[in-house]
Amino acid sequence: MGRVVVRVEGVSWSYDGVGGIRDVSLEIREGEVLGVIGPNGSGKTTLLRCLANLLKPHGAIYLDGRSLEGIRPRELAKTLSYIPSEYEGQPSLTVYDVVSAGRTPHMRGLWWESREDEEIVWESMRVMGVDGLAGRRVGELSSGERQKVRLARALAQRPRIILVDEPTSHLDPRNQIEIMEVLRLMALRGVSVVAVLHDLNLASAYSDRILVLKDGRAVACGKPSEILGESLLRDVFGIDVRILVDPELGRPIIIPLMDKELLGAGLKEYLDGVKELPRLKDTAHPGGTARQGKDNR
Amino acid sequence: MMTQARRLRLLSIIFLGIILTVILSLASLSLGASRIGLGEIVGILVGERVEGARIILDIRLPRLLSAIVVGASLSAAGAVMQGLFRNPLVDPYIGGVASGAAFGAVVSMVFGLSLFSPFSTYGIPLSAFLGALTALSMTLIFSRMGGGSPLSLILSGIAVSFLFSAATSLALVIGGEKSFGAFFWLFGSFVASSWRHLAFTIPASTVTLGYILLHARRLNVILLGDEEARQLGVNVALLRYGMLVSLSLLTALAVSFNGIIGFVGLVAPHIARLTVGEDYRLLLPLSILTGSWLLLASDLASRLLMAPAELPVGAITSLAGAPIFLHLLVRRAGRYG
Repeated sequence: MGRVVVRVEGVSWSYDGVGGIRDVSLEIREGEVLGVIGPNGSGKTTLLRCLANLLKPHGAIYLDGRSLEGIRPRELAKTLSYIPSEYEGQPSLTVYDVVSAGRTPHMRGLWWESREDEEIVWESMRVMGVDGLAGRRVGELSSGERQKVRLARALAQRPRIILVDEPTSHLDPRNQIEIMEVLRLMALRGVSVVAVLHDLNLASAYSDRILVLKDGRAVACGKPSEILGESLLRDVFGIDVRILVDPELGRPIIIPLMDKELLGAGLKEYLDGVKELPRLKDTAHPGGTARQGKDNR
Repeated sequence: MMTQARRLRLLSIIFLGIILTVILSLASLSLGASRIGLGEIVGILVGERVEGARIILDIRLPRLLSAIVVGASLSAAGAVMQGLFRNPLVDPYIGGVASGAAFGAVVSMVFGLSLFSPFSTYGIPLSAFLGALTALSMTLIFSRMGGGSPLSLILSGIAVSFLFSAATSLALVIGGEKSFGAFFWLFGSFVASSWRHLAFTIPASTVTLGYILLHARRLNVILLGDEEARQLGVNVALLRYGMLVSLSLLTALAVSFNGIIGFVGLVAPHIARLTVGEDYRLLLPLSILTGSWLLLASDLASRLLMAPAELPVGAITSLAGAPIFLHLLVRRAGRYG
């Protein structure tokens, strides 16, 4: 595992005492994918925004041993790229407009991109497969295409650290995998990737380490196979899970279940008289054995 | 490739822009109550003292330059506002800025406010600038209190605009006889344009436009959203304040001497955007040029439509602009509603 790039020491931030993160400590290493999971409102986005220096938390964050606060915004932007969960920009911007904005911290001229800047912009679009869309408006793209454009923007920034918030939400399986593969390949080239993920299986499949947040606190951090256990997930997410192990990669595969005891009071009342939540079995395969790719209906 | 293409595009915009401006300017100098031939105009401009020289030099030329300055200022202010708030339906009028400027100007005209007595020539524009800044701040504060959505920005701008219009009316009534000149001024016109005003407005607006143009690329980055702009190393708050002051200044300069001329600031950037897209490095220069053309043409129309009577140019731009604004509103509703 690579050297430590970012060190987070006892960081807390909250908005009027609500939500946020509390006393989080963490190390981010060179060339790793760090998945961040946790329920809604557990502080995942807040943590990313603190790391991006968009919030000024209590505690200390060091980048290469230097305090984050002491680094000029433009210098930080050459090192670190943050992709918020939603695109909030103008829908009428073209793909080229968005990706070339990634060169902003590197630009020497006041107005125009240099030839080198432009080459990097085109290369980033090619890597993400969106160079054919250069002149299209962002508002006309599918969510998968738009997400790739935003990732191309981050690539054009040539950062050593990428912070990305829910990169795969609203995407189809193919696009989810493509985005995760890009992040993993970037990590192989030495970039540290911190990705907030909602899909536990994507987090398990693509993270070198996973950080688990609950109510703003870091409750676990480690390899997927070490920390993704039934009791932790029940405690953090309030769900029962069945955990299988990928026979080839050894990574946990998580099947979420629901237990009657975990339901809210209103739902329990609604289920009045029902002792157990009925499980939906597929009767053609009563044993639940794995299918071998034969789809006979 | 792309950068090269955009550079060429900018050059062609500037080239065509100058040609069209010269054509419109010559038409504006030539046409009117008395027609003056092109040959004579050129002669007068190079210094020949012939009959008609006074009309050209003291009346039509200042008037023409005022139209260019006001058109350029209002459209640049509109283009900046639309990007800064990521809302295509705002301009200095809808944002309340112009009403604030008008109120400031009227107070200074009617009551001869002595706040700036050492700079008496600049009393009106300074007072208009303060009015513009106050109105813009109010619009932004109310909009934030109302949730900060694009809709709340427009509603709050309209409310502030009405508030200042009402205050302006009150000031005019209270002012009695002294308000007479201000009444006609309010309609918006280039009739009273003079070299004395231009000696102030041309340098002031040129400097402000230059400041905005210098920041064109950073304005592009703001279009990505505040968080993304900040993480790209742009000081969003500082840029925003600089731009708010600049657009208040441009609006105040436009309103101070030529009154209420609506819709240019809204329509010109839209026409420009249809042609060159969102890149401010092209959008700003073309908006500035388009605004100048629109006002040169409107001023010409105001003189010719009911000649020898003259229509207020503000009425012409509003007559032409209102349908365009409604069209934008309906189209936008269809797309996002």
